[in-house]
Amino acid sequence: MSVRLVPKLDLMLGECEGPDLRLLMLSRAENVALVRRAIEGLALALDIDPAVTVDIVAATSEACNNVVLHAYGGRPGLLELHVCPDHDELCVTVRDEGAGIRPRPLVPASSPGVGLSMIHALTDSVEFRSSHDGGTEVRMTFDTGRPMTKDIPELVGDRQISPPPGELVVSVASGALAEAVLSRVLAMTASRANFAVDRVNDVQLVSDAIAAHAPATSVGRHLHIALDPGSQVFGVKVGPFQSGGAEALLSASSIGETGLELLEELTVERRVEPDLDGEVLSLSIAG
Amino acid sequence: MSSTRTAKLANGPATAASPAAPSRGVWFDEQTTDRLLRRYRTMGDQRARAELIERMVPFARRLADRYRHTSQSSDDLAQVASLALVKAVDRFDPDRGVRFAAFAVPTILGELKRHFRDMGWSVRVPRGLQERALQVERTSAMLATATGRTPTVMEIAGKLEMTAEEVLEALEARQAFDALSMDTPHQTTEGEGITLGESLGKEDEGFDRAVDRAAVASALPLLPARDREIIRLRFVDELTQTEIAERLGVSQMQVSRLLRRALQRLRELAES
Repeated sequence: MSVRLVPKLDLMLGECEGPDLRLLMLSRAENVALVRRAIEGLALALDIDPAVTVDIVAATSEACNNVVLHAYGGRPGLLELHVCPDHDELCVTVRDEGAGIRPRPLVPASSPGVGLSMIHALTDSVEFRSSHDGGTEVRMTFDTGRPMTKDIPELVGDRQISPPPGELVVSVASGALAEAVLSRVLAMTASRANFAVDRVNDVQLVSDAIAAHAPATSVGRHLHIALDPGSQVFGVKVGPFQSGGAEALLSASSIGETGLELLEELTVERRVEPDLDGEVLSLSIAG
Repeated sequence: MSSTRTAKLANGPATAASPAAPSRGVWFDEQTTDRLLRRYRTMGDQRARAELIERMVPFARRLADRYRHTSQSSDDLAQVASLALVKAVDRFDPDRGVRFAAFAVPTILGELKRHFRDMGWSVRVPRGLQERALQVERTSAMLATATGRTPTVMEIAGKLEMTAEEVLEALEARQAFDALSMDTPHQTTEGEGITLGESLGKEDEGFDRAVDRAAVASALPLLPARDREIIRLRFVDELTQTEIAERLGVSQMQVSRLLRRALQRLRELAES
């Protein structure tokens, strides 16, 4: 099934001031694992105490499982995650657009009856609410015990930018956060596409190059990645960029004076595609 | 071995960037330092920058030597210190009325401390995860022998009744404690223990010559020989990470970690 998730602009308007992460995906069980890996990367980049990270991952996992199992009557629908660090507090919001009874009982079948109490036990505060378009939102906050790194580049431009559409959309603040989150998300995608272990590691090199060089010519302070998972091969769209930015990203990935570009060496296809806000670089990576 | 590589790092940029290489012991001549800094600062003279860095590398290494009794490999520490030196050179403002040393020392020590903090994570890897990492490594090798090709993450997961997520976590943990030491002996296929540093020492010379012929103001010659070697094998010779591992007699995971770090260093140098 090929589904394109087109992010709504108003959903991108978070009030988060810190270096945040947003994931837009289908409510499938395998995507919950991806959420966990992304949060682990984020926690490492923000230097969160590993003991607190375990709690954050477990509670978020429960909230996502609840959406997978109950929000859409077993069918896949939208699952959105927003993680926002603010000084010594991390706020995680899990959202769906299901039309079930609100508030639904948070009881994942995998752990009957314990989902809700787990969330309560692991968070410092939790809030359940219906969102304006009929879905449910779980907003959890975690006390991280110490201030987190606030390493975000200046906001470029004054409008909100919408990422390219895909089956899985990652929007993450540029910098160390993008590097840690993207490499884990892409490694997971490559593993699912049946890549050999050493090719999964090559995909991490691609991810590092994107995280390092894309922000220079991107529009906005977030790095946007849209993934189209597949078998043996998968697609990655990066952008939007200002005109010429996609080409600039390719040449910025040059490897010393070998005359080679990393993104060209490690991908099978590269296309520059027009986009609402400029252009998008579309890469195909094969195992 | 370590001293050979020290010489290479110090001499590499000299042949490439500055024909008038300074003799030993003059790396901290205040006047020369000041003159080179101003030339670089006011005129953007890249040769002055290269000469300055090359003069100061032994100084950076001496700072790194303060930590030689710790668990970290001294080569890794020397590299961290050298990179920090490059940063210090690029950020220093001679018009502030502060001596370069007063600026560079805290910068370099700060980077060394940050390195310890980053590496510290790896020693906190829980025991269960360490065991899982070793299981993954053994199973990966076993599957490779049985099938004659590198296994996929899914195949390893299937064999160990783990999820792909658990396998990836284990691989990450394995690389983290690999990072603790480049000089820990590892088993080659013949069963004899050699260090990764040793196995990467070979075949450098041809590459060094090729690099010397190339552009002067490039970051690649500033990388240690082993980093350049591994980049060359992957991208110029187009060997897979598994083939590189076989050639060097190390694990693919070590190749992966080294390659990733080498590219990160190259990027840092190019940006600074």
